[in-house]
Amino acid sequence: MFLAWRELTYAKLRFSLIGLVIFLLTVLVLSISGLAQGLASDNASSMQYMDKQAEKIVLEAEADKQLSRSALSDHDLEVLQDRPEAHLLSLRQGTAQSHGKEVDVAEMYMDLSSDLAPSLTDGELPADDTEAVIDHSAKDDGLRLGDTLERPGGTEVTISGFTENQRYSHTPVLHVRDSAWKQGELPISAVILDHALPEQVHDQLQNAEVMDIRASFEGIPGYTSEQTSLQTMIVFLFLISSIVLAAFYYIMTIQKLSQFGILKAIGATSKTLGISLILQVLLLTTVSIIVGVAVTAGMAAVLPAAIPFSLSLGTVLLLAGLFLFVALLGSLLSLVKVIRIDPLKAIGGGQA
Amino acid sequence: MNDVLTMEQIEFQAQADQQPIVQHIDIALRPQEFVALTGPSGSGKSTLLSMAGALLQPTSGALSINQTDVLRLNSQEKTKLRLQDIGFIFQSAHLLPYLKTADQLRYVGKLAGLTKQTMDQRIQRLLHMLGLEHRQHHFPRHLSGGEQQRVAIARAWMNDPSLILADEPTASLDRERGEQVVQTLRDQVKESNKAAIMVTHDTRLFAYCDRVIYLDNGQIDHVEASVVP
Repeated sequence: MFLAWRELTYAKLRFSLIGLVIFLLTVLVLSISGLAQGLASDNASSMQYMDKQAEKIVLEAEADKQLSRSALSDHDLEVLQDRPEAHLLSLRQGTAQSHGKEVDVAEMYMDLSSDLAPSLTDGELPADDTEAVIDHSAKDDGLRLGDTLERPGGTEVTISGFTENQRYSHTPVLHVRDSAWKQGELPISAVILDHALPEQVHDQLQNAEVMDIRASFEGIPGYTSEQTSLQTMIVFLFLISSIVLAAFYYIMTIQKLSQFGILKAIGATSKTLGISLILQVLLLTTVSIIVGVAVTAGMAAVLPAAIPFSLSLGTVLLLAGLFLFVALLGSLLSLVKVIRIDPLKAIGGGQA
Repeated sequence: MNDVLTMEQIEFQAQADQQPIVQHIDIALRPQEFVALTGPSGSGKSTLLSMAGALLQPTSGALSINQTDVLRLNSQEKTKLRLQDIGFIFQSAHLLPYLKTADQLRYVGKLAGLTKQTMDQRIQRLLHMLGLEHRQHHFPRHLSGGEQQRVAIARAWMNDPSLILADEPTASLDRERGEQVVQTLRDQVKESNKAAIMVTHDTRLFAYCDRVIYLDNGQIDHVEASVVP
């Protein structure tokens, strides 16, 4: 710590530059992660919510995991319908109208008395078929409690409440009561299961596919392409960060090799010098990451609502930890150099 | 009194099939002895000094520092020996650019695990002895060449080593400064009961030493007793 700290305060400019680079990379990685998660939740939060509440989803085998394309056969429905762990689900995407204004919605029909019912930010769950609840993001389109909304099918409902975390395919989810579709006006898209089916029941299914709810996310239009492109960026950013840090520390170590030689001749061990180097990296990276996290949080707070952004504490901690790890990885090359330096270099006119 | 450094029939070969770089070296150094090592370049002075400093392992012969057989030590033990028993002074001062004068000494003390009290006392004593008290809060770049070299000497003294090895300590100094530095070295050797070897080309400096060892072609050519002024 003695050497590490004094060198940091002496060569302020040099270390500030490295710190600045780590800071910028942190902000970049965190923003992109925030955008990736924001997009994911904008696209799939209703399914993410179901993933929390239940375990499996049954989709039509030919639907390619796509909820909007799936229609379960009568036979399969009969097998599943009366099982206690099964909840029927239908989806219809379309355009609703309110005050002459068009709003794209994903209409979902399900048993709203089960655990799958969305949680509300205000208002109440629909009391009968004439009422519906919608994700609170629809407020941005001017929708208020008590407003009348013309459903994609043409019937009118009153907004009785607003829900949270209920978006599907970048549109708000409109939850209507199950009786509105029980008459068979729409096919049943899927069945949500609280837990896996017993094997003999599973075997009775003819044209259906049972999977984890999480696995069905990729069937949501755009979900996979959005997430893979953003995640590729993040992976590359980590790669770049480790290489940049490695290069920085390597060059700095090379410049100081004769210094290290002198120190070793005087009686400093490789261990002491290595610890000093690692401490420096840790200190610099930690401070830069903390500043980066703070700035990203500030940025997220002033971001317009149109840009979906979501960053959980867990993700921040994970990314910060990963960054620290990558920084240490980057300094390994220098560490090897420090360990290998021969104290003999000090004798016979080596220059510091 | 026991010898600080003994070298018997020391030989060093860089590669097995080559002519040895130094051979048949016998040197014994007692406390209070200040010895100059000189000779043309390539005569093996630096090699000899490196071996005396436990930085280079002799190919054959016997080497002991304060009755410790250096050839038997592993590299960790050698590092510890260098830290506690040997003080190095290099051609240029080789101070760490980011440490103030007092911290240059404190770091070496810390490496040796000295207590804070001992360290502070020694630092003050050494800085006073070398006339650097008013410079203790300065970085090396604010010190003159002579001052830097004196800081290096103070640093070499910090852990109270019994053997001082100086590799052309005056090379980067003008004549007057150089003589001052060597005079300081001599005084310290006599006062503090140390032994010192100084590699130098400067014949004027021989006067400060007790003996001058002339190396030629890897062997001791002759030894002259010096007349101390």
